[in-house]
Amino acid sequence: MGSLVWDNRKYYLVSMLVIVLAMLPFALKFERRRPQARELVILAVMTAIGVAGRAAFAMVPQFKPMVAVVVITGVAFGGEAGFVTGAAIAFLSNFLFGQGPWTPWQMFGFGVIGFLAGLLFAPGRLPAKRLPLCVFGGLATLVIYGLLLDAASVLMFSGAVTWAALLTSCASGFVFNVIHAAATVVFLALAGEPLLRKLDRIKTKYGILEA
Amino acid sequence: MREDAFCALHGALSFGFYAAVLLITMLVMHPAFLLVSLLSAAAYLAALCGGRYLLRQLCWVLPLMALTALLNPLFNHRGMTVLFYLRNGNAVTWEALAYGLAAAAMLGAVLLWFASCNRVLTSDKLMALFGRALPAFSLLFSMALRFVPRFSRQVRQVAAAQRALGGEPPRGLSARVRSGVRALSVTVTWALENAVVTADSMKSRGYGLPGRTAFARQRFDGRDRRFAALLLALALGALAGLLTGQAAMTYYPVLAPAPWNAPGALTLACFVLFCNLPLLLNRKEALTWRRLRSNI
Repeated sequence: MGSLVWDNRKYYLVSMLVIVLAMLPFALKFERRRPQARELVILAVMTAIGVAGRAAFAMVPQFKPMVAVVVITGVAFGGEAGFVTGAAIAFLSNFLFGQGPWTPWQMFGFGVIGFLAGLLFAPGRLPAKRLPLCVFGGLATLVIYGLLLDAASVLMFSGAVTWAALLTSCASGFVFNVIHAAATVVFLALAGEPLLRKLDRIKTKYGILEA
Repeated sequence: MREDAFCALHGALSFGFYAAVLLITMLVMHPAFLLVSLLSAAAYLAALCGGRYLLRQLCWVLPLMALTALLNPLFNHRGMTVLFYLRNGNAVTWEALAYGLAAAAMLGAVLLWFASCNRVLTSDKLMALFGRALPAFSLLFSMALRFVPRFSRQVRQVAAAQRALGGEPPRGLSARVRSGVRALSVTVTWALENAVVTADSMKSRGYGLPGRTAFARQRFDGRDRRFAALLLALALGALAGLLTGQAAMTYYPVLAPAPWNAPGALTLACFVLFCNLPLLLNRKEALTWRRLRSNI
């Protein structure tokens, strides 16, 4: 049985299982903690902003504000909140744009970016100013999300996984990734600091989600 | 789109069906099984959403499938039967092309199953299904889904209020963008404040207590039980055949499908019936309805 399942180049199934298993610890940790209602509602607001943002800019291909929202959430509320919001935005916006085999990859990609944002911009590390935010957002979109989704499309669309196929996929996806990264930078530059100020105000006013 | 008999089943059954059919489709590489999956997915999508919807989906699924089928022989040069040589000396083989075609059929089947899954497994069914296992996540999801239309209404209201205050509508692009951004900013602040009020109200009404109920009432009735038994039997039959190698297929160095025998035929029959369970259920409901009417 093992040979049938694993030998026969089940790249897609195996990689999808790996992705789902990689998300499981985050999800379980979040559930086990039994998050407070205030925390959940705030994360739901951030998720809704991301989903509505994707819908609002849907006519411009790849010009998506989702990474920016995820980064801001991670910076303001910590890595775990960033991961949850990222995964939720990818999952829910696909109810509007179509679920598919790409959903777990997008969830993981956005989630990891949110998690890293929370780690890197933790108090005492990077300052949550415009320049570092834009640099991180652009690089994360281009490198983490772009490469992850390009690798996913190799696994999905070409039965064989070779370096040549991976390179072709990255090359053909490069323009889209650059647009996506540029969109992230634009949104972070315009909305990053104001939105973070609003979130900080809520945090101090109600004393919630101190990251 | 109309709700058919398959949509009316308990959410756990629709979820189980799609999970199993996607799993089996991603597991097999045998062309007959992949073709069955692809055709059944297309047939059910057409029955559920109409032939025109299926055609619209095929407009982007077919090019992707063609790309997949052609990419493999260009990157993969294993196989014994050489069709021709590329300019750089690499061989294009029949085996690699066949593998590409199989991968294309798998991709097409998965995409088309997902297309009908999007219509059958609505978000509220998923929430009801996972509300017990992942309560925090399903609450987060259902609140976020609710917030999206609410925020867009609020943005319009804020914009209307700003216009009423300012007297004149904004002229020119930059003024219009600035007023749009202002409305968005106001809405975000409002949403965050409102979220805290909502949360406090939820807490005082007993959020987090055990014994939560779902919005949609779903009962697992006798019809669901019978369908579940059939679904399980066929899925297990197909999986058992699969795991004992009845649908094995080797592509390299030469195409070598599993020998055609009785267990293999049985596995294929199980899979054909399994993939067409939604269509068969609809057919049965239509026949029952006709019989009931003619008895009057």
